[in-house]
Amino acid sequence: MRHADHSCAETQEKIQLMMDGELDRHSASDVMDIIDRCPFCRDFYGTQVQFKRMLHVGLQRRSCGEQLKTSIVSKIRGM
Amino acid sequence: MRLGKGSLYTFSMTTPVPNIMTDKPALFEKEFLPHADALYNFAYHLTYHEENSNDLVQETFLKAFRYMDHYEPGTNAKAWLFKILKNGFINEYRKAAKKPNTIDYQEVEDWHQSDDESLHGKLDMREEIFGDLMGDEVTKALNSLPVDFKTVILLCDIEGFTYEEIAKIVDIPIGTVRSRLHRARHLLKEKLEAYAATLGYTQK
Repeated sequence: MRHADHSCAETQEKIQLMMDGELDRHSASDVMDIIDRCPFCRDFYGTQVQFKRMLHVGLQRRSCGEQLKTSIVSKIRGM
Repeated sequence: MRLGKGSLYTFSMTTPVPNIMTDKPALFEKEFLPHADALYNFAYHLTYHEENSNDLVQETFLKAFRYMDHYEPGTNAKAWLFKILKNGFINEYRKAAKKPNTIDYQEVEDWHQSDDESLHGKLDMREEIFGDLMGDEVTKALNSLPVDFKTVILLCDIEGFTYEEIAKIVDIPIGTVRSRLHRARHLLKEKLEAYAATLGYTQK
């Protein structure tokens, strides 16, 4: 949807960039201003936040066991 | 194999600098080993198999050690290791795919590459749907994506690499990282939407 002050499609692309840390602070601030004003962009932003959160909760982080680290160091020192 | 923009030595004049030619194990333990947990996490979500993840991580570190002469101390060790691991995984994956009866048909199923027109429709999944999806469903949905899609999602959304770093790890232009991420997320959301439907949720 195109409004007088912004295009939703363009803003939503920027929202994705912002959430991936690819926008500078000034551009991110402009995007947040639009999110405050536009219900469509706000809705899209909310969905993206939930999606990221779901990935982090759903895909629990796994750690490398100490045994593996010790084995790697031992192999390296023997090379 | 080299990553990073030129030499980015971060050691001060007073910090003892490990000599890469004479003290490779010390440099290895200082710059590479701290990334073991992140590498294991990446390997696990690529393979969903503990033993294979252990093998992949170990092989990555041994390769990194063998090719340490190609690495500049102080540059992006984490991205370099991830690139080695990703290449190792893809090689094994291709080998496995060539073997009869081991092809993962889920990987070659038709997947949509639809345009953005449905952003407000199909991608408009509400909070309560995401909130109630269990980890297993997320894992299954991610695992059903083509491996290139799964990789960029793990690197960006889980490991937090920048587009530039992902481009170097995966060996694709930054523009392709953006478009691949977009398509991968779109597809993942569609898959999760299907799971949500099986759980009795309906889209608003």
